[in-house]
Amino acid sequence: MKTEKYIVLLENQEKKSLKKIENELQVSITSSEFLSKENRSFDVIDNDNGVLYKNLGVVVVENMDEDQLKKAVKDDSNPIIYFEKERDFFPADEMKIISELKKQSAEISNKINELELYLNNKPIPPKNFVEMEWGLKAIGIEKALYTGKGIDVCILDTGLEMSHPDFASREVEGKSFIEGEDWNKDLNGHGTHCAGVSAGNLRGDTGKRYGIAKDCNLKIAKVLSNSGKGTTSSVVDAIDWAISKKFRILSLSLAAPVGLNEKPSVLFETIGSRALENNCLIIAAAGNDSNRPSIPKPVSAPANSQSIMAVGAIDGQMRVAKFSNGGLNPSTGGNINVCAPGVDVFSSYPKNGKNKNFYIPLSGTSMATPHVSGLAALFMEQFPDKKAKEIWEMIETHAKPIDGLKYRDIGSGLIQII
Amino acid sequence: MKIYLAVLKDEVNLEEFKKYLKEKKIKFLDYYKTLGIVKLQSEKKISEKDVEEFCESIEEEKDNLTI
Repeated sequence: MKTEKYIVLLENQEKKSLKKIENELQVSITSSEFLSKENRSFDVIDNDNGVLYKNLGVVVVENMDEDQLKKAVKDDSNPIIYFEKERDFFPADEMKIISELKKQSAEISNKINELELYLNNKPIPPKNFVEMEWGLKAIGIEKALYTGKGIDVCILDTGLEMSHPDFASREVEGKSFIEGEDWNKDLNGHGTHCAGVSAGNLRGDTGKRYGIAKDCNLKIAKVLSNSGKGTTSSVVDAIDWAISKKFRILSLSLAAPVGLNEKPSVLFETIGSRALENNCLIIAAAGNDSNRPSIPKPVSAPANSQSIMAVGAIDGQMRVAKFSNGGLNPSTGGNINVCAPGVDVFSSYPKNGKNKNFYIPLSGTSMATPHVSGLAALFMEQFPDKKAKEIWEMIETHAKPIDGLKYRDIGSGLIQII
Repeated sequence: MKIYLAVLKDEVNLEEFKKYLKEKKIKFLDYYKTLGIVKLQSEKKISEKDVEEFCESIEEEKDNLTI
């Protein structure tokens, strides 16, 4: 049976006190003066005997009742003022320390191996190995984790050529607001190009990605004739249809020039506001009437309305497109909100007598606009609880200014994936 | 015949407005409830003053929207 020794500290070593302790603890106390080589402390100390170290004022006893010792300490009349159990001390063993360090380093080494194994075997990140058009690279689409899934994006334009291989098998809802012309035939090609930037995917010929929100619900409103012209009336008809259908994004790659200091139309200002109230964001082209480096022309209608997002165009060298209109009427809302790629943008196009390819490059703020509507679809999927107005704010907040370019020309900057 | 688009004032009485338009020989073409807008048609030019009791603004349809 293991014996436990106790070190008991005494207040004094008077005979009376020692007697009291002997009585209470039921031990006989031997003074350390009487210890010798033949009579060592461990030979003396047992259940019935203790040793008093006079110089230290300490008695060492064995197998005591701890409760009794605690009581004695608390009792002021008792000479015992403190006690504790004997402790074991071992000499410092360098080899033991080395062995402990080795053990710890082995544990760390195991953790490093585990981490290395994880890194070597972890799934490939959603990194895009697909080549893409410059405009998509410029807005950081390779980082995109969303595809616009479930978001209704409506392109108000010249229609969509549904025989195009990129859309032929896709479910697309549409309506024509041009008498005698179908929404699903695009003899102009402009609408098919814009729809491709916003909602297309990969080019059938080169495999390059050219569209932003490939999984959005594509909606088409034909508001421009095959000659590329339209009226405010058909646009209002289409917007009313789109809002009643609860579409979230309306992309308007169309514009009518306005004069310097001309106030925006109350009609479109109201339409933009009502759309936002109905959780619908209208995005429109700033217009292509400028011929830089001359002073640009003001942002066209309807993009000049404060409640409609105005999009300017930049080229692949991060310069303002020479045709892109500028924010010359900012006090009345005619400012640019953001800019997007709008020069030499490749996208889907109807194959016809003139055009032998399903993809062609076009330039215009018309091409910049669907970049923004596509991005808005990604944001709406990513942040389903955000309202249209908040999505607008996010687009502007995350846009990047371009070194050397003015707010007048690019607004908050080049749109970016989060 | 010209087409006009007008933004209605809040809480306007549409029936009363239609009655007024009839008197003025202005044809009521469409009402966009969500937008609070009406489409009208008239041989004569309609000014803001003509409809100020019912409308915040009125403008003639434009056909200059292009790609």
